[in-house]
Amino acid sequence: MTAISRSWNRLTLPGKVIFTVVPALVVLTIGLVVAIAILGGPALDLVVANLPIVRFVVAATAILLMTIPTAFLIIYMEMKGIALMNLRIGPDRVGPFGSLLSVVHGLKVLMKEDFTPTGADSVVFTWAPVVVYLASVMTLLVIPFGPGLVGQHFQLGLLYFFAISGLSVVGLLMAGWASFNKYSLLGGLRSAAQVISYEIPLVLSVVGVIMLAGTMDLVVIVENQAGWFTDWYIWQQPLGALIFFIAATAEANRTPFDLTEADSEIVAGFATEYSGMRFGFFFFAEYVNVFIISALTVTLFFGGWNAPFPWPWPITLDLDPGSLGIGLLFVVALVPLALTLILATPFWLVSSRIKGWQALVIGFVLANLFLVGAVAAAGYIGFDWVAGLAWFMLKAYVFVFIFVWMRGTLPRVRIDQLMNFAWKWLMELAFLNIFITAGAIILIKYLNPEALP
Amino acid sequence: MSFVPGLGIVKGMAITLRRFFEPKVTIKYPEESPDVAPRFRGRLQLLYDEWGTLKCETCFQCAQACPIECIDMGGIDTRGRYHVHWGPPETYGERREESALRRSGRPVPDRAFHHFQPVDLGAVDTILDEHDHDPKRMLEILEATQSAYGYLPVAALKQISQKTGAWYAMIYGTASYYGHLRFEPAEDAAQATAVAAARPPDASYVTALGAALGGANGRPGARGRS
Amino acid sequence: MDRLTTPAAWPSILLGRANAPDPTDLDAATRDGAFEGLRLAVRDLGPTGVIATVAASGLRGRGGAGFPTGEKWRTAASTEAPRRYVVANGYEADPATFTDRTLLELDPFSVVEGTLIAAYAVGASEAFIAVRAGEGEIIRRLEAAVADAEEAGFAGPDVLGSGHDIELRIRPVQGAYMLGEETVLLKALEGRRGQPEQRPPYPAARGLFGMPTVVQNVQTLAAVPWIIRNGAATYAAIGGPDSPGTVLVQVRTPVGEGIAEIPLGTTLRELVALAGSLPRGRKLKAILIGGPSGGLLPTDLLDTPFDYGPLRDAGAHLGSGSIVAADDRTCVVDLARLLTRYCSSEACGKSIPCRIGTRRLVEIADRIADGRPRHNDLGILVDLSSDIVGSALCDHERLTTLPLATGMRYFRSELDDHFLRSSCPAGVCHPIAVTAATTH
Repeated sequence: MTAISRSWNRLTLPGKVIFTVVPALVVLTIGLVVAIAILGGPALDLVVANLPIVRFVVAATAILLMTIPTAFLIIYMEMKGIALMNLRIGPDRVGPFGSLLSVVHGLKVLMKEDFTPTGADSVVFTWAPVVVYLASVMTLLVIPFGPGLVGQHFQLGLLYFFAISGLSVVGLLMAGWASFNKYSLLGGLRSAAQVISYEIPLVLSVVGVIMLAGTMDLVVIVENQAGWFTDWYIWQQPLGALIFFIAATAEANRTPFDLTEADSEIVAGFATEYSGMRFGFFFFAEYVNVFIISALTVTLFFGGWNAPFPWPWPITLDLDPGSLGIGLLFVVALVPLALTLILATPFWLVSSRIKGWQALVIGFVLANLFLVGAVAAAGYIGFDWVAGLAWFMLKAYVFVFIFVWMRGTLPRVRIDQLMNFAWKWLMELAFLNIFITAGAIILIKYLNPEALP
Repeated sequence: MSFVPGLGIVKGMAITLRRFFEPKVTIKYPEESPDVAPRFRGRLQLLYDEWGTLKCETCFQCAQACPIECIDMGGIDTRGRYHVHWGPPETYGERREESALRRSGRPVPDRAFHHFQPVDLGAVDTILDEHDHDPKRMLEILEATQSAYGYLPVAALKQISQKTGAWYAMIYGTASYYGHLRFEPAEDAAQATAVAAARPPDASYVTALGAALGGANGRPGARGRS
Repeated sequence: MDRLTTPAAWPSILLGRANAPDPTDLDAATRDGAFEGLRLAVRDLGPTGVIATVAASGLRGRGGAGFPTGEKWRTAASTEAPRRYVVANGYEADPATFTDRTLLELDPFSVVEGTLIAAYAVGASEAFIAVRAGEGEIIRRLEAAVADAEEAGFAGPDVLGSGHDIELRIRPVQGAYMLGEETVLLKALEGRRGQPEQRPPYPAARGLFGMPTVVQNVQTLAAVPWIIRNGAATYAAIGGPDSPGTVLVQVRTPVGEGIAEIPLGTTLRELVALAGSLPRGRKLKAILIGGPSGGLLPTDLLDTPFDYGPLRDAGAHLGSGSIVAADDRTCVVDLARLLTRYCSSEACGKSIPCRIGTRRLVEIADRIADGRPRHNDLGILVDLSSDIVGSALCDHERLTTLPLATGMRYFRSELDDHFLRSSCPAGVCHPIAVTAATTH
């Protein structure tokens, strides 16, 4: 008990909030499910009557909960990926291949001293990271993770996305101002300038896609890219995609545009006075942002949750485990056991150094993998949303890897080079893209009236 | 400026991607050890010169200078004195913790202690009371301890260190410097002769001088190396 | 140790009361002038007056280095500090010399008084007299002297009504030759490992426990009461021009040895003659001046005055005041080897040129004595000696090079005999005879 109370005392206020709210949410969800199961009818009727609200609450909870493991995973990917590119090993000791390191980092960030500088506007100071974090995370509400898996289906999804992500500028300025540090203020102004400069090419580059799809609805955009990978918008909007990618990198403060958070620049950065969980919020916001812009890139240009090839034949998997009756119990009990033994035997036979129990452990692990794989495959084939989600995540993480790759390769640009690039090059190219796209659409419509919607 | 803008970036990223799959150069210490040249000066070991003499003078400066007290001396030094073998700490963390414990006044669990005979520390406590637990009077305390026990037991030195707050390294350095202090009981004849051979007492110098002069104190004539 | 008979014209400053039947009898000593200097200092001169007198007298430290005493006291007195200390160095490092010990034995009151005057002059509240721990009789006499002085009001709180408290303690020390070095002695008094410190800062500015400390040899301090009583000019008139005053020396020759108080500047010839003349058939070969870390001078230099400057020019060192005259039964190489080996084994080990360099000197000396030197040994000897002297932390290592350096300088033929001709003229060493083909 004292171990728990001691750890509790070590947490800062945001840590205490998180460690109360998140378990509470989990308990609430479980409680809801149990209530539905036990009480049955009345609870279910209540839920159905308020379905939109329930749906929204579930979506919001899921998104908030999802961001933290995502951030952990991306942080780990980044540390490991950049290390491997630098011919180092990277995190190695904490957990298998160092995978638990980012979790430990998260806990560390919770335990650090959380102070507010003297003279800082404490309300603004406290809320700035929250604004930045929410501005990033709220945009996840409109991204389609799979067919039917979208937080809220807006027809103006893309507009909502850019509007909300623009709020992060407010957060940056709040951070810079409330730090009561003139260098932080200047740093905050610089990063705000960077973000808003690149918003324009970002939005303009997407106009081409909007013209092609005819709508700002992200779900419709993804559905338009169904079929073979040649249907993806990347082939129809290469320049737009390129501009979008570069502008999105700058929006997310990633290399090569990360001078606001670079180690040598951090003294003049907006986050200088932040420590502990407040800084943790900025940190998480940035990594979630990376995921979000990868997700958006995938959604807009690379087919979203579509597989690169259309599923050639319709498959219905009529799995009805319930029909086995009591046999189901035997299957559940015996199949893992049998699999373990079957998979353990070759290992035990092949080498005398592998003792019996070691072979059994290996067999057990492999059996688990096999079963999980089988369930996943069944889900993939049986439910289209599983397949969609899988492809979406795969593609999004490929882009996350590209961001990590860029960070490990490219040098940083200066602030003047950055602004130059945004205003003198990207914006012009984005306009050019719009004109070319519009011209092409008109031309094609003229030549072939039925081709485009 | 290349013809294709961005080609440099692409080439750079191709290089890093190739590096991603290349074998890594990290040496996973301590499972793997790096190969060092024979003359490498960073080894944590004592060296011998070409005549087989240990180069370490046991002057204890390294131990006294170490801010975390992780250096100890052991074995027989160049003067033939047998030093207490303390045993190295297992990890850095253990040593720091022990040092912090000791300075806070709490007793320190001593893993190497059990190698030595425990002694009755009552005499040490009496001596420390007489000298007011003052580390500035260390030489007197050590001389009194030696007259009480006949030598300086490790346990007594540890107790002195704990009670006076003086670093053990300091006490050890003082005790090993003065010729009249010893760490082994006087009955140890082999040790006594070894010490006398390596660090001859003043009397042997006087005799040798007399012999070399061949004068009133010595007899004239040839003899070998004195 | 016997006293040698000295010419009546030579003044007896240090050993003035040496013939007293009971050296610890305060009344007898007071009748003979003890503590008169302290009274004069407190009553008439005051601290600054005392320092001025001592400076005017030209007294130099008798520990061997010969630093002007008045300057040292002035530095200590003028350094701002909460406390000051005075340490009388009666630890005679040279085991074969008994000059300081004789002084302490025969006239403890002079040393006590000198220490008290020094403490009064620099404003020290504590003074120590360090002596060899093995000398039980000396410690007993000193402690009796201090107790008597305290009873009479010469030491302790409010010395002679001056308002100064001077606490005087006797500290027996033992265990290292290096304790003769002033910073090492201070370390021993602090209870730490006896390794010297970088100087500057000198102990007069920062010494015992970080406070200004005056460390003086007991002979220096014993001369101070006489100076105060008889005036600085009188003292300055005795001895040499740069180094006035007297010093205790121990002369040892094959026929006899003893201690004498001599005015500085007396020639070595006179000093050796004090101990008696050699029998017929024996000739003087070398004079060892200054103890284990001293120089070996040849007989041509017998007219060198026994003084700081001239001896240093000749390559020797005044040191403990020991003068050993060796006749031709002594092998200079063997003697130099013995001295170097002793000094090397007594080295504390802090400084690398000392720790390793002196050991190499011993090895070279051994090789020469064995007649198997390497072809570059003499060159290395010269270079090594000059490197040690140039990079030394304390004087111990500088002086360790003296025996072999002076040996090289003055007794080259004997060295050559050993390794070129494989012979030892004194018949002491057994240099290996090597054929010409293998000697380079």
